[in-house]
Amino acid sequence: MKKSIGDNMIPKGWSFERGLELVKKSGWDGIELWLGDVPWFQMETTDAQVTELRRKVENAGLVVSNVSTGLHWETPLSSRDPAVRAKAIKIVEREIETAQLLGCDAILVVAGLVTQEVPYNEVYQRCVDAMKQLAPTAAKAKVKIGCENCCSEQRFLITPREFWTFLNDVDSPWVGIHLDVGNIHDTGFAEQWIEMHGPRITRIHLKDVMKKRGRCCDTVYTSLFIGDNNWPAIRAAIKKVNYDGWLIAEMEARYKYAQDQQFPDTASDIDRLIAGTL
Amino acid sequence: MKISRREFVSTAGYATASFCTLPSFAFAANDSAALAAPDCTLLDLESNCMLPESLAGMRAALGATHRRVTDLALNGADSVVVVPAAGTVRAETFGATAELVRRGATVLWESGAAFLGPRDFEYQQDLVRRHFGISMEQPIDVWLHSASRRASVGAKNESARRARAIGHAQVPYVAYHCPREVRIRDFSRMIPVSAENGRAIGHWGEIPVAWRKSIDAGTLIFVGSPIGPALRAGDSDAASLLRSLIAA
Repeated sequence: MKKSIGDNMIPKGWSFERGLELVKKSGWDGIELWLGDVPWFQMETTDAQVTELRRKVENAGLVVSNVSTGLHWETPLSSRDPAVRAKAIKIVEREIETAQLLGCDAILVVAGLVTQEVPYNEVYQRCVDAMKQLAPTAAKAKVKIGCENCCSEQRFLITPREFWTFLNDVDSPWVGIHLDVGNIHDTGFAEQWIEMHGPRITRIHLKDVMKKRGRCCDTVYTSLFIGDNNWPAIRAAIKKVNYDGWLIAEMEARYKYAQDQQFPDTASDIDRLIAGTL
Repeated sequence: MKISRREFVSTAGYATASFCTLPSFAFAANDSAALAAPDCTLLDLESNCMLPESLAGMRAALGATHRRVTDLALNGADSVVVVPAAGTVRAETFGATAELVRRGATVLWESGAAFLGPRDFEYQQDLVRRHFGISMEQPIDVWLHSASRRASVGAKNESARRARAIGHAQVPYVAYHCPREVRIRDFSRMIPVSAENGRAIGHWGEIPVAWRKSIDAGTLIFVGSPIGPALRAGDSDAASLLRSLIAA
C-alpha cells in the first residue's frame, strides 16, 4: 500500500510547489488533487495547466493518487434542477479528464445529498441515473469513479448494505466506493464496510472520529489513533480483502498551529498502520 | 384466477418498466386504481418539458397502457391525454388540447411553468387563462417560505458539508382530496390555481394547487405542483393518484 495526502491540506498561502516539497519531505508517496478546492486546480484550469501540475508533482518525486472534489456539496448530482445536475455531471467529467491527464485511475465523487426538501428516493434515483450515464465515460478513460460514503453528512447510503445495493443498481465495474473510514460515525464500523465492499473499493480515506465525544455529544473528526476507530480491525479488514491501493489522509481536523507538522506526523501514523505496529 | 386483458397489460407494464432501482413499495401491482387505468396518450413536449424526470416518471407509471406523441392530432382518438411538466407551450398546442377536451377527452395537464423565467411564465399564464379558463398565480418557492429553511440555506452557504439537518415545521406535501385522498411530496415550486367553475382537488396548506373542471363534454385536470418526479422516485401514492385522475 502507498500513502497520499490531499493538496487541500497544504497550509493557506503556500504555493503548490512549496506544498509538494513538504509532502515529499514528510515521506508521502503521492498527492490527492482536489478539483475546485485549491487555487491551482479549478474547473477553469486548462489541460495544459493540468499537465503542468503533473510535471510539478513528478519533479517533486511524487505521483497523483487520485482526483477528488468537494464541488458536489454545492452542486449535487441529486439536485431537482436539471441545470444544476448537468453542471454536476460536467464536474465529474472534468475529474475524469484531469485524472487521465494526471496519470491516475480514480476519482472521488460525493454522489447525492439528501435534504429535507429533496427526499431520499429522489436522490437515489437521480444518483443511479447519473452514475449509469457517467460509467461509459469512466470506462473509456479507464478511470474508476469512487462514490464516497459521506453517510450522515449526506444523509444518504448510510449503511454498507444500502451502498452495496446502490452499486448493484449502477451495475458497472467502473463505479465503486471511495471508502472513508472516518465518515461512518455512529452508524457502524469501518472494518465491516471494508470487508463488505472489498474489490469495489477504489481508494481509502483515513481519518479518525470521536463518536459522541464532542461538545453536546457531537461526533467529531480527529487525528489518527486518537479517536474511536478500531485501527487494528481496520488494518485486518484491509488485509483480508487484499486491498493494496492508496491510503489517503483526509484530515478534517487540522493543526491550528505548526500546520506543516501535521504532514510528517500523519505520514508516520500511516506508516505504522501499514506496518502493523499498532 | 381470471384476469382481464387490461389488467394483464397494466400489470405487465409495471413488470417491464425500467424501474430496477425503485424500492419495493413502488407501484404496487395490486393497486385497484392502477388496474382501472385507461389507455392514454402521453404528450412529450421534448425540450419544452421542464422536468424530464417527470416525463420519465409518467411513462414508467403508465407502463404499456400509453402511447407517446410529440404533437396532438385532433382525430378524436385521444380520449385521455397526459402532459408532463409543460413549460413553454405554443398557443397551437393549447388550442388543440382545449379542443380535445371540448370533444370529450380527459386531459391531465401538469404545469412546469413554475420553472420558467418571469416573462415566459407570464406568457403561459395568459395562454392558460385564455384556453383553459384557469388562473395561475405567481409560483411559490415552497422551501424559501420556511424561516428555518432560510437558516439552513445560510448554513449551506457557509459550508454545505457542515450544514446540520435542521428540524422545522415545514410539511412537504400537497394534499389531494379528489378523486382519492393522498399526500404527494411537493417539488419545491408550485403554482396556485383557480377558475370560475370546477373545483380544487389539491391544496398546499390552504392554497389550491390542482384544479379539475369540465369543459363541454370533457374534463381538464390542471396540476400546479409536479407529481411526475414523485412517480420517478417510486411513490405508490403518486401512481395511484395519477391513475385515479385519468380514470375518473
